[in-house]
Amino acid sequence: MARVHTDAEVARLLLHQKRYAIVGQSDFTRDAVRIQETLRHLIRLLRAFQPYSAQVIRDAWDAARLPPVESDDYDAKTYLDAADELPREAAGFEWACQAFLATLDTEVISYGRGRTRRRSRADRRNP
Amino acid sequence: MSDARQWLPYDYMRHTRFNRDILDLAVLAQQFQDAVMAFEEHDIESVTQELRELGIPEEVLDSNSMGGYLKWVEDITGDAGGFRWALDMFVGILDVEKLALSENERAALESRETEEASNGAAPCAVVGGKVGA
Repeated sequence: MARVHTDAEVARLLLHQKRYAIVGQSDFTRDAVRIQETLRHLIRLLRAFQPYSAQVIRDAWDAARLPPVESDDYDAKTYLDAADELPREAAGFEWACQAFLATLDTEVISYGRGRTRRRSRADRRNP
Repeated sequence: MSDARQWLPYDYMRHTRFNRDILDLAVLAQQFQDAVMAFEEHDIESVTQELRELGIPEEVLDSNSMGGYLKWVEDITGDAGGFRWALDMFVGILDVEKLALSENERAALESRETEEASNGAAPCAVVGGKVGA
């Protein structure tokens, strides 16, 4: 845990009975905020990936005026199958990300996120 | 005579962002595996000890309301374990080891040294990937 706290800060937290804020001081909360941020980034990438399909890939090839691929080309078929299947897997995994994100949506994490932002602003003001 | 020809991944896939988007996902997901695994190391005892070192009195740490929050720590890390199972599955499905990247291309991509590293990389093929196979 970063030793940036003062006795006054601890006393203030105790005085106001902000137990969530006390837990919000921990490395656990700091790491949870980072996990939350990465989850959001991951969800953005997963959503951007989901519109892909074999047809989207074929359309891109057509737009580039590439010659048609032999119908029995195993590698191309494997690739196009993956272009259909991986976005579905991404959608399923996005669901798992959203579920985990929801479990992190608590007052402790909100406090920790606000605390991180306040500290970042303070650092920028006092480099 | 047919105009069809053998599919050449380097010729064809450079016309889409599909490979780069897979690799962006895979790199982030792999990095996230380590972060989630480290996160699972937290538990009630470690958080309680941190708060004790911060100066929070024992009577506060032992209170019912604080107990609820500390129990929540355990619940969250338990959920993290379940989530990592899904994360590991997804990384396995992407199976980047099957992507036809050179060592230099892979190293440049994973270290995210430059945007050019991925833009200039020859597009790869998901040949033999688990999902498409």
